[in-house]
Parts: sequence; C-alpha cells; structure tokens
Amino acid sequence: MEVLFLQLFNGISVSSILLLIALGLAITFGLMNVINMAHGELIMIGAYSTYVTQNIFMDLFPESMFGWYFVLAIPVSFLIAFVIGLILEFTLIRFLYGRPLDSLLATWGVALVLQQLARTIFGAPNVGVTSPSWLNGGLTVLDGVVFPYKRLFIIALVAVTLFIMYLYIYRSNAGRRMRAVMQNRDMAACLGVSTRRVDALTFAIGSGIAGIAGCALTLLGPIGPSLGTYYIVDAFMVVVLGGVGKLIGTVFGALGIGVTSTVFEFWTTASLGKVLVFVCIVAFLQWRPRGLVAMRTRQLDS
Amino acid sequence: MLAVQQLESGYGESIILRDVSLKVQPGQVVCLLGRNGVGKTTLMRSIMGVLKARKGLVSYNGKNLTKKSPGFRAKSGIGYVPQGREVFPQLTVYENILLGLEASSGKIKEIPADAIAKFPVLPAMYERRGGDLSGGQQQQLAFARALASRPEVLLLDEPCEGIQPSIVDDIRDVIRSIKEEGQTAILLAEQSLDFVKSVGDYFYILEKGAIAWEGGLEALSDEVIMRYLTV
Repeated sequence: MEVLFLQLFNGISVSSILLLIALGLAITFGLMNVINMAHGELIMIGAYSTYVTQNIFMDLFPESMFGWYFVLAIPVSFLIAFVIGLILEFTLIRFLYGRPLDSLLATWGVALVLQQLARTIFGAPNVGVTSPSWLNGGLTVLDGVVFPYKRLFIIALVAVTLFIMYLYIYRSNAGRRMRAVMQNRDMAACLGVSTRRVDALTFAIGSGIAGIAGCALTLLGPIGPSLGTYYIVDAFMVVVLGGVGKLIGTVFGALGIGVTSTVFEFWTTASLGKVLVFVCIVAFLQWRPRGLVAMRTRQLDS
Repeated sequence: MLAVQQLESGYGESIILRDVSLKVQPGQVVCLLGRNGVGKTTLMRSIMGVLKARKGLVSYNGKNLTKKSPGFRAKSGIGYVPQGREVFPQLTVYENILLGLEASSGKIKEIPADAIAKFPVLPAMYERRGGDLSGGQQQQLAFARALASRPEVLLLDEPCEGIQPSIVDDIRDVIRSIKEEGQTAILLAEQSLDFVKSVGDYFYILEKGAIAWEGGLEALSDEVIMRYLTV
C-alpha cells in the first residue's frame, strides 16, 4: 500500500517536472514549429535568475524576509526569460520561420553561446540555491509515506501555470489571434492581425515559461551553466509524444513518460528504466506518428 | 474608391499580371471575368497585399497601399473572402467570426447583428470547429467573418466554387442585399457568367495578364463572351 502510494506520487511528481520543462517548448515548438534547441538554456536562465534574486534578498533584506524571495523569483524568472526570448526572436528566430533544420542549427548555436555566457558571469562550478524554509519538510500521509513540500509545490506550480496558459491561449483575445496566426498566417494577416507582434509575443511567452521551469528546478538541486542540456531531450520527448500543437497532448505526454519511467525504474534500475521508456516511446510513435493527441479536421485531411 | 493602376505581379520568376488597371467605385459591384489561369486570384491577392506587387499602384481613397501589409489594408476597410475560403480549421465558428473584428482596431467589440443576420445557419454552429463545416457552410463563415468589421470594399474570390446550388442562391441573395444597403462595394471574381450577370454593375475581363475588355451589363454581349470567355 505504502509502496503503491509512494510510486504513484513519485510518478506524478516526475510528470509535473517534465510538464513544466515541456510547456514552454509546447508553445515554441508545438505551436510555432521552431525547433528551439536553446529551450534548455532559457530554463537555465530562469534558474540563474532565481539565484540572483536570492542573492539580492540576502544582501538587501533582513533575514526574516528571506523566505519570501522565492515568491518573487517566479515572476522575475519569467520576465527575464521572456525578455531574452523577445530579443532572440527579434534578432534570429524571425528569419527562420518555416525552416526547421536551420532553426535547429541556429538555436543550438545560441544555446552554446548562452551556456558560455553563464560560465563567464557565474563561473563554471554549480551554484546552490537555498530553498525557502517553508518548503522544507513534508506532508505525512501514512506511516512512512511523506510527500515533500517541494514536490507538492512544483505540482501546484505546474497546475497554476497550465491553467493560466489555458486561459491565455483558449479564452483571451490575444490567444485567439495567436492560434489564428499559427493555423493560417496569410489569412490572419488579411483580417488585420499583426503577425509580427503575435510571433514575437508567442515566442517570448514560451521562453518565459521555460524561465519558470528553471526557477522550479532550483528546488531540486544545484544549478550550473549546462543545466538545460539535461532537460532538453526530455522536453522534446514530451512534446513529440503528446502530439504537436495541442496543450492537452503535452499534459498526457508528460504523465505518460513520468509514470512509466517511475514504474520501470522501480522494477529495474534507473538506467535500464530509462532505456525501456525510450523503447516504448519509439514503438508508440511507430504506431501513431502524430503522438497521443493528433489534430484531425476535414481541412487537414484533404 | 479602390483603384489599381498598371499593376505587375506574379510568383517568383513568373509574371502573371503585366498591366492591370481597374476601379471600384463606392457601392458598386464590379465583376472580374476571365478564363482559368488568367490571373484573377493573383490580382485579388495583389490587391489584398498577400502578394507584393512588382510595379504599379494599389490605392484606396487616395491612400497608396502598394507597399502596405495585408493587415494595414484590412484596417483601411478592405475585406477579403479568399478562394478556398481559408477558415481557421481548429477555431470555432464563433472565434472565426470574432477574428473578423480585428480589422476594426477594437472599434467594433461585438459581432454586428446585421452582418450575422445574413447567414441564419451560422449561430446554431457557433461552437463547432471551422474545419468541421461543409464547403458551403465554410463559405458563409468566410463571408460573415469578412463582413464583421463592416468593410467598405469586399474582395470575393470565386465564392461559388464547388458549392451546392441552393447555397449559391443564398450567396447571390447576400451579395444583392449588400448592394442594396449600399455601404460596401464588391469586387467579385467568378467563373459563372449567369451569376455575375445577376449581380454585377460593371465588368472587367482579364486575358494574358491584362484587362482585355471592360464595360457595363448591356455591353457584355454574346460576341464579347465568345471572344474572351468561351473555351
């Protein structure tokens, strides 16, 4: 019983982290079809933004206030990654729409540049971010089954981020413009939608959400300049498995990979579990190349 | 008044339109005729700005639009119902029409009741996705979307192509009612001669990338039709 509970919780916890790192990519890759290899580095930027926020709090505010830095760090990480995404879109990405292979190479180059930039500014060794004290400890559910607050916090953060993204994409005017541009750029332009503004904003929002992911990752361990490279493959896996272009697919993709990898790792070893998960994904994509949630309409079929 | 002067346009290396000049006066229904492949759609796309003109001038009410984006032209009061309808397949019918309001730059917040009243089938389908509609329904949706921002000129590119006869009749009624209201001029590209004769005020015939003939309804004789339109 305890084992089942714990594994289930671990599975959901891993899924929530996967989902958080994939959500931004679901926008930049899923909606805009930019193969954004710098996504991991935007996560890294979010993580370092949290680190810097922490240091500023340590220097400027009394110790009693320190616990609150993390609440501020989330929007700060979003904003900094958002601005960097905006700059990236304006200087590079906008020339690469509709050229996926070029965008892959160019953004990979950007990733290397950003990594080196982080090394130059913060140094090559990992830096630690002290989690706020209110996230230490855990919730005791049963005897011997403790759900750490940090993990619960990440699950809640993902839920809130997802909800806000849903409202933005599917319920707001800006989201409607965004979906229109992604589905039929020329026609959206003919109706008076400013496609340039929509592109820039969409890419920046995807980048900003990567920043939030980076902020959350500081709760799980030390951060370094190559933080993003550990997560980029997983992020792409989630988006591709879920089905490109659908937010709900990304959620299912993350849950699928998170839960199955926890189960496999429980039955076998960490590395064999990972191998088995990848085998499953490859097999699944052979069967359904468009992923879990495929877009299907008359227009696309014809 | 929408005016096109000595327009040259095309795709890549190939020039489709060499020298096209036409005018659409306020409230007028102007029809663009011509055999397949003479460049009717190319002309529509060049007027809307989807295709950039190589030479010549597109102007609206004296404003030069030749170098402007499609969005700017839409906001100047030009509505566009493209060939193939181009509704947004993943968006609901309601969202599709709401996007038509973008051209009003926020001045129109609600879908105008009179614009939607012309298409009584649409409100019942508001929650369905645009891509799930039939061709005729999509055509009506594209119409409603273009009319939502109350354009002063409406570009209609083959609105009856591949559509069942009863809906062709509906579309004819819609064009007539727009004409009677007199607020919106129409530039209509269409293959069906019967259709254009039943709604048109003035006619241009395109041939080899240039205007080969122009005139009113009474001048559009069988001789002209034989000369320029029969295959």
